[in-house]
Amino acid sequence: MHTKVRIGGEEKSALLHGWGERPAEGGDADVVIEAEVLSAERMRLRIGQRMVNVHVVRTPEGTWVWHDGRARLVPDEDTGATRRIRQDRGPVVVTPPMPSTVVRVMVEVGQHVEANAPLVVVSAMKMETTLRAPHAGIVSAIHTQPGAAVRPGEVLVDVTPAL
Amino acid sequence: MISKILVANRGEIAVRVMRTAAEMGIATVAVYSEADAGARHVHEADEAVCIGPAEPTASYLAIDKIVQAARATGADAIHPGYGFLAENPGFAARIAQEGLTFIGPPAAAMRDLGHKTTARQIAARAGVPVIPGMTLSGVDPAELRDAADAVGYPVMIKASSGGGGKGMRLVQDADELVDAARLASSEAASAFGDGSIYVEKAIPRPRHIEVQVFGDQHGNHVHLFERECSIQRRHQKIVEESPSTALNDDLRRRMGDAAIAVAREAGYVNAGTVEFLFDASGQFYFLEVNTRLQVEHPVTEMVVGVDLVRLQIEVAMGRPLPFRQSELSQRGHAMECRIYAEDPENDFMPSPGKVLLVRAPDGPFVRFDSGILSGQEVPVHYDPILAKLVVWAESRPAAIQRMIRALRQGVILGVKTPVEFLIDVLSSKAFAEGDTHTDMLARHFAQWKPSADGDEVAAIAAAAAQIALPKTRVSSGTGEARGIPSPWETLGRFDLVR
Repeated sequence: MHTKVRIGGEEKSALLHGWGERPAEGGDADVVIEAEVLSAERMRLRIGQRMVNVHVVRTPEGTWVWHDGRARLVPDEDTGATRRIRQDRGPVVVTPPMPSTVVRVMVEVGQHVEANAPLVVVSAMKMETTLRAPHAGIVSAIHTQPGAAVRPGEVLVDVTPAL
Repeated sequence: MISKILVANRGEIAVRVMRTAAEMGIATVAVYSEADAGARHVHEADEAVCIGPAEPTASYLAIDKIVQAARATGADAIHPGYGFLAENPGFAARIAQEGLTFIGPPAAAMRDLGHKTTARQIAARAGVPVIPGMTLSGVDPAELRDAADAVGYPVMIKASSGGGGKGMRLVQDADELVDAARLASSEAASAFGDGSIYVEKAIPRPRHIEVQVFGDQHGNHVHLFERECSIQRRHQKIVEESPSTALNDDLRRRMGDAAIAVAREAGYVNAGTVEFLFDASGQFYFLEVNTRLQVEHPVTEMVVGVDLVRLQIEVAMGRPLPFRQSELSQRGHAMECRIYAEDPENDFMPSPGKVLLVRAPDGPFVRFDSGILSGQEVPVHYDPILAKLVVWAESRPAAIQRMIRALRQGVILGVKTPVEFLIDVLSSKAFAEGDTHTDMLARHFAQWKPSADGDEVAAIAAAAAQIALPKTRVSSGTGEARGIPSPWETLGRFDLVR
């Protein structure tokens, strides 16, 4: 079966076979892979000549892979999943980098703020992080309050850019 | 006689304490916050009491609720673990007042040794060298300058009531002094409720070596040798080992005697650790005492062959120490790696989320003290320690090899951990040579990145998994698990013929 693999930012072609079913010729694929599913989370792979045992867990965010002490979360190719907030639409969004608890809201609706002004302080695992205004503008809405549990992707404060 | 222990803690240490209690035929009570309802320590206890919402001040630090839980379950003893209330003299005193047994030191010793300046006085009375330093009455610039001049630059400013690196600042010269002192004081005030600070001579390239001590209620004290804790990142220990490559038998004996002298002078009972800083000339200085069982206690357990929690419980029951100093010795080499839910590629920021899969490493002399189960959410409200991996071997090189092998073969998926970073540190020449100073990571690993080969294998494995394995529908966030497909659905070769 032909598929694609993204390695080091480059898309490469891969030929994937069941265990022991490697074809006589590798064809012109960049990578030849033999694979066997050993359990719901374990796979055995032969990549070229190299033997690899991995644990994998598939999720909506991508596939977690463990190999030899190295853990990676690989986004699914077909979903093209990204976890970054696209910042090319306005109003500008202010969101926590990880699941956190809101400690303090430093501004009020209608307040003018400079670029980099502190807007909200969130806390996770005993570390406080200050979320700042990406550029100058007016606080047009506040969607949270101290004590709220918030997640990446949630918009906490809307800052309409100053004209 | 103790018949039921309430463990006033969570995570891996609660699991660890309850294991020994179970072995001794003592019933266990877990307390948990709402965020920990599915936690491992709750499931492994005989009884469990929910004591409040996730926020620590409303649950794990809520003394009244813990006492209430003890009353409700008929617990007659409390083990505080580490962190939370473990070094809170008010808590120890309250437990005693309630007629319960506190498995730890007396409140008075905890109070004296918990305050850094009193602790230094105790050490000095015990005849133990103390880092030259001066206590301060406030942050008056003139007093600060006089103290720093008397001690000699560079100086460390430290919090009197604190630890864990908070309220600590290194000051190279007089220009930085006043600002550093103000920052240290306010950090200390917000972390410990007390902004008082003191000034100490900064030891260049120190090694951090601590000695495990134990006292019983009959005035006996022993030490159980040292732990080398110099591999640190921002004052947080990440690798610990015993014996220390820095010590010979003479130094070891002198440090052990010094640790016992401090414990005796303070009237210490139960488990404690005396920390020392070791300078390049082989001189050691008293640093502080930790009046609790420490995170890295398994290192001592493996190298001496003892269950320290069992000893804590027996001492709390009034039994004398079951051995004399002459009967204790170190054998072989033990090492511990702390595994936190942290992302080493992102400046070790906490990496909360759901532990999708955890598989403990195993093999001879491999110990995995973990507080996590597959499918468990790692709450954001607490210290993100997931597990401790501890190994023992006949020699240090063999212990390093065993640790690396175990780190590779254990599995934790769903949250980022520093396992790959730890493997690289343990594989390094500096570590192999025993060049363990507190600046080792900053010197050799400041630019560390995960390997590109790891990226490549993962990309290929993920591509194969996308074809061969159905999606589990378990989200890495707080989505509900719809069920991991059973092995019967996925075993064997997948069918390429359609």
